[in-house]
Amino acid sequence: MDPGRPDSGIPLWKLERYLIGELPPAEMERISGLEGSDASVAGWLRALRAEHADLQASHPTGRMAGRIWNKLKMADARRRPSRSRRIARFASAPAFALLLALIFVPVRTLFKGAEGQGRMGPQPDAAEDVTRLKGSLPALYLYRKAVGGAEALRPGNPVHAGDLIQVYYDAAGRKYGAIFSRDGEGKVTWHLPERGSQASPLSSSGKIALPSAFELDDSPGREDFHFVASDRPFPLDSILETPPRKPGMITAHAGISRTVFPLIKEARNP
Amino acid sequence: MGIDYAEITALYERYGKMVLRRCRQLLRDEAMAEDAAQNVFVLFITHSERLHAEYPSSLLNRIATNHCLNLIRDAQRGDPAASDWLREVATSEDPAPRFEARSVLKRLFGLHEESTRTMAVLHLLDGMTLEEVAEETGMSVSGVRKRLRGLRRSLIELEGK
Repeated sequence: MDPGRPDSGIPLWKLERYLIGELPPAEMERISGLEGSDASVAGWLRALRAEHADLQASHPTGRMAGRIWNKLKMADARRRPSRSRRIARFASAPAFALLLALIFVPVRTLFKGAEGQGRMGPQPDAAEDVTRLKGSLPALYLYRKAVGGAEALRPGNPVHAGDLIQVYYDAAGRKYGAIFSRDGEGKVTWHLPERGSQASPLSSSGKIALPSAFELDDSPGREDFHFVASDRPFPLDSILETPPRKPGMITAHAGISRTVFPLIKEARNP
Repeated sequence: MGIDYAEITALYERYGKMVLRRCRQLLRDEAMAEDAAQNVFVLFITHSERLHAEYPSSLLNRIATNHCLNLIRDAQRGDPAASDWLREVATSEDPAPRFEARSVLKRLFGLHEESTRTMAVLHLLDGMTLEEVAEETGMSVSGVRKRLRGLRRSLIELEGK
């Protein structure tokens, strides 16, 4: 259906804008009136609505929005220089290079520590042997059940309804914590503790698996896993109020750290 | 990125079908259209005009048209047969002016600015008046007329060769 101008004389693009609701008010009113009185306009609008419904079914919002999100993240990452590039640029100035040479060992140690600790999901092979330094941040690890084992997930990975997710945490010395996930519709599921109103005591060392895996439902969009940890007990409702807005954001303030691990839920291809 | 996932979902929910329809109309390939539509939203979200657009549908339509025409141009570079899309743009049921559109569009690539190609699609394929094209593209009516006249002139010259 591609003709530019149906019998009514109103071009198709204008009828489509009418459906979206983005025409000047007088034009909206005119087409609305014609829909009731002009069979041609009514017919074209019916056809357009049917085509829109078909497009919606074959390109569902969850899948499309997830992919747009992923492409934006990739574009964003391409625009930002990586940490190693930033270091390289910094080192190109001779004075700074000298300074860097003087403090090279401690700087390198610092970055090495931060890479191990700040990561929300582990590199598949490196995760087991990360040596935590004093003052390191808690970490969250997600695995998806796969044929013959488990697949380590990375932030932003696509997942599907029905996938079984196993959550691990590393408290990095923190004593209390909570883990929950929030789906694209804002629904919260508590994983640790599964019930109650206060943060759960954490096992203080190593990578700890939660007692049960979590099956993703078919709600569209994202599923963000949050891990909030502290040295003191805290009420669970206090950590729902200020979720970080950016994925992958790690905050550590007032003795509380928060790690967010986003997954993108996509529809399975029919 | 200046936008969160909920906003992207709302944006797609509202305009996705229009963008997909445009991409499908120009590209005539479902998979290419889906990929192109995603790219259109990425371009839109990062477009500086977005925040000031009274009607985002207008800007989205322009970006979609432009993006698809670029894809077609790139495909033509690699494969001259790809220009056959224009034959398909105008099916046998289409009215006579569409044949003019086909003829005009076929020669557009490489001859004129991107924005002129987009104007030609809006005018010849969508049936927008010069005034509507001007409003859609943010140019003056005389500017649009001048561009399209220049386009026709080069086509006549091409025909003469």
